[in-house]
Amino acid sequence: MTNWTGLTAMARIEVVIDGDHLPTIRDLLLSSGATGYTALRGVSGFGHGGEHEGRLLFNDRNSLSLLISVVPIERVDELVAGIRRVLNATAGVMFVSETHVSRPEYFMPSEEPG
Amino acid sequence: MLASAAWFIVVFAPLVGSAAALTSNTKGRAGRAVTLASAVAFVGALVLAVWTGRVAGGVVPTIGWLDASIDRVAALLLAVIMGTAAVVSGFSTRSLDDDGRTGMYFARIALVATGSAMVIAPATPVLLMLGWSMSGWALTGLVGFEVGWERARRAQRRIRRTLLVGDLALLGALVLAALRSDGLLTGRASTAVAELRGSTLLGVPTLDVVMVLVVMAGASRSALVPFHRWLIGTLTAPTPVSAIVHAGLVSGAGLILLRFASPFVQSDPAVILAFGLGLLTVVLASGAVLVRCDVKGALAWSTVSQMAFMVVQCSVGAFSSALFHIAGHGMYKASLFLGAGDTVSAGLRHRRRPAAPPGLAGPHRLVASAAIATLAVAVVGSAVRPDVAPAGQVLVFVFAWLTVASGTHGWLAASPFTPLTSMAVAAAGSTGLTATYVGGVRIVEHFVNPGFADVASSTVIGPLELSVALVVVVVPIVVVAVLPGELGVRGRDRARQLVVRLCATSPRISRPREADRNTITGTVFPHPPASNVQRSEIRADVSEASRVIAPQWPLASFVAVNPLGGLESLTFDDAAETARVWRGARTHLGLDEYRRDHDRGLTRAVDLGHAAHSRFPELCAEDAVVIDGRPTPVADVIVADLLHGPDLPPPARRPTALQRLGAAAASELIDEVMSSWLMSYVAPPKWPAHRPGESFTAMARRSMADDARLRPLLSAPIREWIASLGNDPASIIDAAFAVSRVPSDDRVGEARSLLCCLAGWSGLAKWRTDWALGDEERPALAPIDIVAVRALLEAGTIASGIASGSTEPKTPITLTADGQLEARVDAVARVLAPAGSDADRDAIRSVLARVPAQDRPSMWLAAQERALDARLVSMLDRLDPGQPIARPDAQLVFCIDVRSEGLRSHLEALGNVETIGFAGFFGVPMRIRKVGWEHPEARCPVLVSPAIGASEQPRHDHLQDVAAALLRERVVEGLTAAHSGAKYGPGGPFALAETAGWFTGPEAALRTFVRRASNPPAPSPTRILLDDHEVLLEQRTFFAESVLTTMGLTDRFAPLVVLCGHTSRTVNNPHATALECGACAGAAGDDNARAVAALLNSPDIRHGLAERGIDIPDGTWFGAAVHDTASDRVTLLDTADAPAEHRDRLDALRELLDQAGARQAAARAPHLPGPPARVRDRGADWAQVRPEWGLARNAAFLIGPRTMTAGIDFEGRAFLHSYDADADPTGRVLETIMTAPLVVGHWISAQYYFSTVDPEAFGAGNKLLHNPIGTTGVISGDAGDLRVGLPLQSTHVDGERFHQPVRLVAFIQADLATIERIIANNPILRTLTSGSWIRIAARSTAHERWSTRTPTGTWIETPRTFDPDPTLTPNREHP
Repeated sequence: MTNWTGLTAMARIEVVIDGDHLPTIRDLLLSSGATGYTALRGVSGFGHGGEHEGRLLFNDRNSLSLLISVVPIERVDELVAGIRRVLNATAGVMFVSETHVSRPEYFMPSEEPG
Repeated sequence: MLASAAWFIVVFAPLVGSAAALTSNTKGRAGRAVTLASAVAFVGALVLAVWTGRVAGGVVPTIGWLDASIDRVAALLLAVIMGTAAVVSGFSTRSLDDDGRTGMYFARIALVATGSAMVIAPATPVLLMLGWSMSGWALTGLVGFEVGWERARRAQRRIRRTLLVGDLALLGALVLAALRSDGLLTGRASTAVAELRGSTLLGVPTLDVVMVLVVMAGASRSALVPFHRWLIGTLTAPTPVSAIVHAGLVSGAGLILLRFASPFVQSDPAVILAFGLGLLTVVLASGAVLVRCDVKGALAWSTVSQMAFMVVQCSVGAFSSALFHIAGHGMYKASLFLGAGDTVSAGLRHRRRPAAPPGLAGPHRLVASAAIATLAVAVVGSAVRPDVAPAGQVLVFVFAWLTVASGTHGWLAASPFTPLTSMAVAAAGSTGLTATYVGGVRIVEHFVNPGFADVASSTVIGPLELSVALVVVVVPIVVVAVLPGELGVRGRDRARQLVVRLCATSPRISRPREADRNTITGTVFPHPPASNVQRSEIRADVSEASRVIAPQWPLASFVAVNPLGGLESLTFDDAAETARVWRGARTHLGLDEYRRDHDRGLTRAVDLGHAAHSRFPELCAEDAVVIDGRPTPVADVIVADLLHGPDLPPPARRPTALQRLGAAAASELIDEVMSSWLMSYVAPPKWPAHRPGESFTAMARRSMADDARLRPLLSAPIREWIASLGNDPASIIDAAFAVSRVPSDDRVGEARSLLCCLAGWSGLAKWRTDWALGDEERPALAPIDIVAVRALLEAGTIASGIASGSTEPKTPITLTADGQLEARVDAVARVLAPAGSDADRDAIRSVLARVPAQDRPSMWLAAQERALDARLVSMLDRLDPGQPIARPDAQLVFCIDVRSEGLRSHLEALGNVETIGFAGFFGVPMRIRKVGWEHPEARCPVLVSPAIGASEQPRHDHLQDVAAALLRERVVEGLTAAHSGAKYGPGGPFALAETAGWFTGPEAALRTFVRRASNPPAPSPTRILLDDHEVLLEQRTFFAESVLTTMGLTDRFAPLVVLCGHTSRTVNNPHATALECGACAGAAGDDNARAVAALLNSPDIRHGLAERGIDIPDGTWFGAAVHDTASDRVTLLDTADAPAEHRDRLDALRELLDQAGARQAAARAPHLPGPPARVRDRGADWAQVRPEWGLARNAAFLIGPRTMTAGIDFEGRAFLHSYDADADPTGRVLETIMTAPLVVGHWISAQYYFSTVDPEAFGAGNKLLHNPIGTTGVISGDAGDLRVGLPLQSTHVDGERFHQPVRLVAFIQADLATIERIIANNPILRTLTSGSWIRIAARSTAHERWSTRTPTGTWIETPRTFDPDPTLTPNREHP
């Protein structure tokens, strides 16, 4: 799907999650064919789970992280299904939105996972 | 007469020791008695050896009725066995120094020695038979050392059965020989042989029958095919037992063939049988060595192949070679077993050692090795030639050639020299080693030759027969080994599977006939493939399931973790309940144990009452109940139940689908097979099962088709079905759960059950997934792989009709046993209402029915913690808050580790110094690369990612020293490669073991009997510096600033500030890293101390700090030191860098540290078993399984100024973190302390807690049974799950707990509102406090009372005792 600017529509998934669950989200992303992700560690804020401080001096693990990934839209269902399960058991949020990218081949899985 | 006396002393001294051991009831006495007796026997054997050596003919006659003379063979073997017995007993005396009930253990060791001696120097056939059986019987007893261990019992049964066959064979042979001849064992042997040759039994010459029986007896004792499986079972006995078994008892075939050498060579059938069995076993056992990755397993199979080699030597008539082999190999194996614990540190050293420059290419290396070996053998062969039978000579030279060729091949790959120099060194070394080997054989042969005078003629196996046999055996092996392409891969797989199958000792399961199998078909197969959405959900479910498992770090970098860390989002009680259900583990002490602690004063009645009130506030607020005519408060009834009620039944693990069908044996077999796959996958042996890049799931699926151990479980159609599935673990789980009929809403539960079957391996997989990301070299092994493989095996077993019935998940077995209520009522009634009317019982029941039985341990725990807090408060309150020392001579910064506490107190008491407690990585998370290391290593808590590099740099005036040290390291690496090449090379181990043993045996004796002091490290020719080329000055200044502010040292600098990291120098200790600094990822803290000290001395940094308001006076110098907690010796480091004006201060400080260290060691001594005078040497003692106590008994984390804690003896139970609230108005420093060091302290505390309450499920069990798997971890015995947590010797002593399992309490001197805000802002702290994982008490200033924060966030006054002289542990003898 290409729009008039020549960009390709894809799905952007953002997840805010604690450090302990980070590897699970990473695994779900990669096993669902995501070709990469960006992680921002030590994000601070306030929300359903209360306050959370940002970066701690000597603890990278127990602060929250924001993971951002872009996947083809047809991959969203499976990713959402897995991440929703994870979020059933822990604090965190997930945002899914449409985004547009200039080099879609960067985000296309090279082969079927598994 | 004198000879008879000597015979008696040598053979029976251990028996006397054995009797003394049985009657002694003092710790260590049994061991000392047997050691002494064995040493006496050893000396006696040496005397006999010298004596026989001086007598022409080599035989010392004994008195008539003994009817046996002592020859040189016997004298030599007696010396070896008695020497080994003395070493093993001496070693065991210290390994088991805490155990007062080891009489039987030592008695059996002595019986093995005496029994072997009776076989070596038999006076009469009766004594020979008695000795033979007695040693076997004693061994069987030793294998059952670990009472109640099913694996050991199974091994015991197998050993008993196998040895019985040998006993009967030998008995038959001796009886037959006695009936048909006279004196086969005596000087009249030749007449006896003639008599036996002359008579027949069922048409067969009696001699042949007798000798075939003797060979069978020997084959059973020496684990030759078909008796080869028993030896591996002895690994379920403590390590020293393996040493004596492998050094003496297992050489039975050799001993008895040497004894019957003359008749043996004259019986062709016996010789051919022995030769055939020997050759077959050599091949099989050599293969088994290559497929094992556990140290002891490889050693055991190597022994089997060595024994077989020895039998081959005997069958070709090379008896003196066999004798050389028995003695050399025995000593070699004994020392390897005793030193097996060094594997982990050796692996770590190997990993760190500098790689050699690329040497010769593969084919060139092969040719060069062959040429060098040929040269060496030719040179030696032209000069020395053993005078054994011709076939024996072939053996000597062929195997010498193989050994030096394999060794040279290894050396040339790792040698640091140029190819030409390397080859020259190899040629010299090879010639020397060949000469040592051949010369050794010749010396022994000359010494014992008179003993084999009548067997000079060669046996039926001559050089030609031997050569043909070797070719027939070797050619197919070589073909399979080098065959290229898929055919070769499959051939090698098949061969590997064959070896695995033939050597398997898994439990037997009867295999149904294919036709009888009730294979499920139709309804389930084919199962539609899982959709992507389903697969994603399965992945998420397995991830959720794996939270019940804690990550398990490899032993190369042990990290203490909370075993229930994944469940921290639950409260402690709920997480504990979850662990009981899924892990089947204990999470609290038993009620009896809490009651014993109560009797020791660890709790008071008031604590119990308070625990009842706080757990059941509403119930306890109700009106008193009338019992025995008196109004009795409800809390009293609950307390009576705590004190007298029956204990809970042991928790049971929720079964898996297969286990719910009652297929326990099948499940056990799956555990065993999976463990062996996992072991081989994570620590690949020389002959690995997986192919490069293959995931665990893929490897396991492939193995399911081939692994013969699984044949009884998986029918042919099911194996086909398995082969049809892909390698995606989520899809496999979907298919397998459909077959096992696991409903999708129980997927998490079933996955949990499956993971918990092998919780240790699952923990390692979890570490790989959650903590070792980015390590691309490792093939995939995640918890989902373990779930998938096990689910598939279970589904396959169920579908193959092995088990049938309903696999519906049952309600988890919980501990709410209603049946227990009446027993509890009875117990309470006996105390509160001895008359016991129904009304009384009703009243009691009305209360107890509302108190769940499983809440009682939680109340006990709360009561212990309350009592501890109260004692702590009383101690802290006694101190007048003083002022810090005005002008200290030095400030010493120590790690918060509880082991620093005592040393700090002694230093402050002895000198004008101030001490500071801080995280032992000194605030700089770094990654260090030392001289020659290929890969850098992290030196910071695992919670932090290394942020800056550091490197070791040679000092300018020591460049040559560093280069020389580096070369030494590389040479050592080259020699290690040579040794490893010979050890694993084809045919290499035989000559190696024979020769090396003569050196390693005496070395083992030296290590055991010569006291070794724990020496401080030599001054280093290098410095440790943070990298300045890639990190900006500003960032390094930031590190310096954060270090100083977090440790609260921003002014009042003393002239000397020393950062003191800590280490624990221990040897032969797989769990060594568990004693290292937790803040440095299980490594020593000296590198950080040196790097940070250098940073703070840098003028640039000081300039930057001054701009940020921290003025370090020019006269202040930062130094580094390291505290060895095993010896309490503190070494000042890098003192050469100190300006001249500090030299005197450093000298004074060194003296002060020596005095304080001595005091600290003296204070520790009473808590450790063994002589107090040797407490500082325990780390250097290779026999010591408890070099120090580590962080055992840790209980509290104190955060505040030193004035809050100085002068108080916390008995090494407190983490002390310095903190000055006045200097931290924003609370940022406190936040750092609470979110990092406190969290790490909680992990350590939880690790000790759970390893103590359930040493089997959460702890690593007994260290003496540990069998290292590379640098990954240990298993217990010969197979099974990876052990997790701390070994028993870290938490218990003499069967009693040393550690008091309580949750960590933090006492913080800081504003309560600040603490509250920090907790509110940090989810991790909210979780830990609201879930009761830790307790927090605080006071704003030194003049206020302490308050404890409740899980709901209110503060209540912390209780206190009114003991005039409170101590943290009421009864100091015990926790």
